[in-house]
Amino acid sequence: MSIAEETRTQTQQGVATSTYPKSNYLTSEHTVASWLLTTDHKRIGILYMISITFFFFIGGSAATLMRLELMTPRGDLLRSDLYNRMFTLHGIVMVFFFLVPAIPAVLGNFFLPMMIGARDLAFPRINLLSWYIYIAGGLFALAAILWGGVDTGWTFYTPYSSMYSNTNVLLAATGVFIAGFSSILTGLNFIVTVHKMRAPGMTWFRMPLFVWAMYATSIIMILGTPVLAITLFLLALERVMRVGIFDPALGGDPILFQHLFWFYSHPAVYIMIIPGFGVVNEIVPCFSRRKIFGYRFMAVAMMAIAILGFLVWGHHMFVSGQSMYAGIVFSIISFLIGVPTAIKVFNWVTTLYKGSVSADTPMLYALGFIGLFLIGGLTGLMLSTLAVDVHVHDTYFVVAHFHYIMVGGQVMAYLGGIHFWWPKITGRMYPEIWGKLSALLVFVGFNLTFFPQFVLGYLGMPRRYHEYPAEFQVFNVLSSAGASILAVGYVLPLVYLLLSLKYGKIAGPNPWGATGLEWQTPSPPTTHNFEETPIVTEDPYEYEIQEGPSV
Amino acid sequence: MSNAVVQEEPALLSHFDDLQQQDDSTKLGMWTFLATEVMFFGGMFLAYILFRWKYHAGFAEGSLELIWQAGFINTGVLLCSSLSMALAVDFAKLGKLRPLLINLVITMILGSIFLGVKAVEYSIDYRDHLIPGLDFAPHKLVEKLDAAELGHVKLFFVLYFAMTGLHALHMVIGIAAIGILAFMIYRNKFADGTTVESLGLYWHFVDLVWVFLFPLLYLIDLNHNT
Amino acid sequence: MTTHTTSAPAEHAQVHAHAHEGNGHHSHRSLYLKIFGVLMVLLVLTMVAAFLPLGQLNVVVALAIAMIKAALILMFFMHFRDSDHLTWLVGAATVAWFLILIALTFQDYLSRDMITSIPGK
Repeated sequence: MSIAEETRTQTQQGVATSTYPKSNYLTSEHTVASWLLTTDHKRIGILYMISITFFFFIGGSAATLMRLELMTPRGDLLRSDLYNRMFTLHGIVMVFFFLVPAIPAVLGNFFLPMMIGARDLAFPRINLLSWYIYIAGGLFALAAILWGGVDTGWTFYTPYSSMYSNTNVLLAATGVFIAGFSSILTGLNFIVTVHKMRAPGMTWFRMPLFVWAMYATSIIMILGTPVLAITLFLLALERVMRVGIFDPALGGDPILFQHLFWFYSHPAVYIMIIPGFGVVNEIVPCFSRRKIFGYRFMAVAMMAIAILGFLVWGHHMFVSGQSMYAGIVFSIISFLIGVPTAIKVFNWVTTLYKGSVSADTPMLYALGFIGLFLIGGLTGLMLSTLAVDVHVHDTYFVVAHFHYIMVGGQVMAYLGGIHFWWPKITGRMYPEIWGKLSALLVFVGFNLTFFPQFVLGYLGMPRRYHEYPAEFQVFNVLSSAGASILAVGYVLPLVYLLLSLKYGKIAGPNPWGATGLEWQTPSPPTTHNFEETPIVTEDPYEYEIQEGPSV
Repeated sequence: MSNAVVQEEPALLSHFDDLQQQDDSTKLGMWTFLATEVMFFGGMFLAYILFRWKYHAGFAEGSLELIWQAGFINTGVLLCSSLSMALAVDFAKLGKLRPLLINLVITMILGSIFLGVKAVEYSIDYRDHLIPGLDFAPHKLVEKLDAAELGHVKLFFVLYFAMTGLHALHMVIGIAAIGILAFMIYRNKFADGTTVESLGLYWHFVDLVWVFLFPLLYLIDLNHNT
Repeated sequence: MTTHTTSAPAEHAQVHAHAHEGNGHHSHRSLYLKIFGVLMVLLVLTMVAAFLPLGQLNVVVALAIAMIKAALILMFFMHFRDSDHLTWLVGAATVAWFLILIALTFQDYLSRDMITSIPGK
């Protein structure tokens, strides 16, 4: 039987299991002001959850239109310039308004304080400010979309974006600039919280790996995002003042833009995946009933990835005009990142081995993550190889690679985390059948959408094109078909999770029998999380000790 | 208002366990924020270093159009303001409100003098057509240099205005923050040492940035080597 | 201004223990004035050096003096020297990251002419 059923049939100690606590962080105050002016990290997490879901579906709509257009070789649904606006919208919204904030601002905000036994983050008001800044950035991005869009691609390459594009570059760049500060404030808050607000006994190596993931992500946010901010500022300056920072006709240097842009945007992809590692690190031990294998290596690996991630940005620029010597340097260091990443994959697999694995929905997402992230990561090594990249740069091979990581990895981790912690956040269980069905649809839909894209890229189909030669159609049709299945897989949770708020089974404090301080509180938790500051005496993931020795 | 040592305690926010945790968090928060500011300015420093390396002659010509005396005075003014800010923090920790407030006001005045000098410089630059995008046509240089070199001079001025402009924005925010803090201290008759110290860290950082901007922008070629 | 909402009675006493921190603090006034004096001297030195015809060395000297000024402000005005190890780590990481940005970018520009022939072509 599933973990949830097992736990409910076991005798519980102390706390009543199936009552819904009348007074909790959701019910403590009802006014709109109490939500919009809240400093409770849990409520702020909910605010973020609603906003990023909104942006996810905006970005998803753009992708839907793109995949519809790409079903036929000719450009019939969307003109080329409209198609350009679609992929730009898709990239900007998905990267800056969904993937970067999703797990940190939703699950991190909600659970980081609880996992370390704190009553809130170090700076609750700055936390609220970060959400408002995010919304302000989002409004600028929406304005850019509504006023006709942007067609530069999410990468804003110059001099097209700074001198020649006739679209709303400034509005979009401003939106991203503003949203960046939301990211910086979240990272700052997390770093100070982890350093200063751990409960007594919660040493660094007793922290859940999710907290380590948030910490590593925050370091990247702090050190990288400001460079993006200044880059966008210089881009805006060039666009408004018509000066020549990045325009070669005026003595400027477009490759300087790329250096500055990728200095942030490569580490940004680690902002977009390390939180996923964190979620998987919580789910896998719980649903294999085993301590995670190699806890210290897992923690240190995430830190190593965060740090090494700053040294590899030139692998996006192999064919840009960057020197070949620099290309070699960046290529070698990019290979090095494969080492801590592979360690993580090996350790997850080893944790599963001889574990008592149960296929609850969160675990399905986590297992999907491990397999799909592996493919994404391996193809990343292929792309880091200079000679290979020369052929597949700017083709669908790259598109498939990063979607395997961002969607097959991060989005699945996000969904897995939402399902795993849904009982804690809402006090309700989601319907397991629907959860499993959606996970399956997402997995099948995802692979059908993106595996053909590896083939397409290898065969030479360029990215960002709305038309293609007829011989590529079969793979494009497969990809679009997969996208429709994927879409269903994404819409279903929206429906059943919302319905569970009213009709879901009462969850109780710990339906999964999971370790971790957040599960020692009622579901949903009270506003202050803990009645008394907990004192930590155990290492994390003590599943075997809980259950007795495994067979 | 007397010089008496402060008797009251700073307010402890409910999510902190004790004042030490609150103070440590505040200071770590400010240092971390300053780290982000270094990276923020850092991107522009990269652009500056690159283009100065590529177009040294143009940068030298551009630099000579700046008024080094203004830069010199401003550097001195900012160093004085760092002193007054450091003294303010000192008095805050000793609980001596009156000298604290006096030094905060001095810091604000010195900061404003800095901004005033910069305003004068900017208006002279405008008069001399040295602002890119606003009819950039510096008299002597238009005659002396060809189009490409003039472009390099223009690039220098883009970076000059962007870097000093961003720095000035940070000064404005700093002065405003000090003003608000001073007002609250005056009204509440109480100063939290950690808050003043954190603001001091910000102010010193802004001074630090200028310490590098001054030689990089104003002193490229004062001895007319190139 | 004196409201506390601590979670347990024991911590209330701890708060009061910190209340009179002000009395334990000794003034750094004389240190600040000395450092200020050095900074002003260095500023004058900067100007003098700027007018000397040192060729390539002008920028080196100017930046070296700037770094000394910066170090003095950092160490003494910002009390970096007296700070805890975590603050040192933040400062060191910051400098390192700025240097990474500059160095890894420049290794591209400086090596543009290094490898020009592609074997086999």
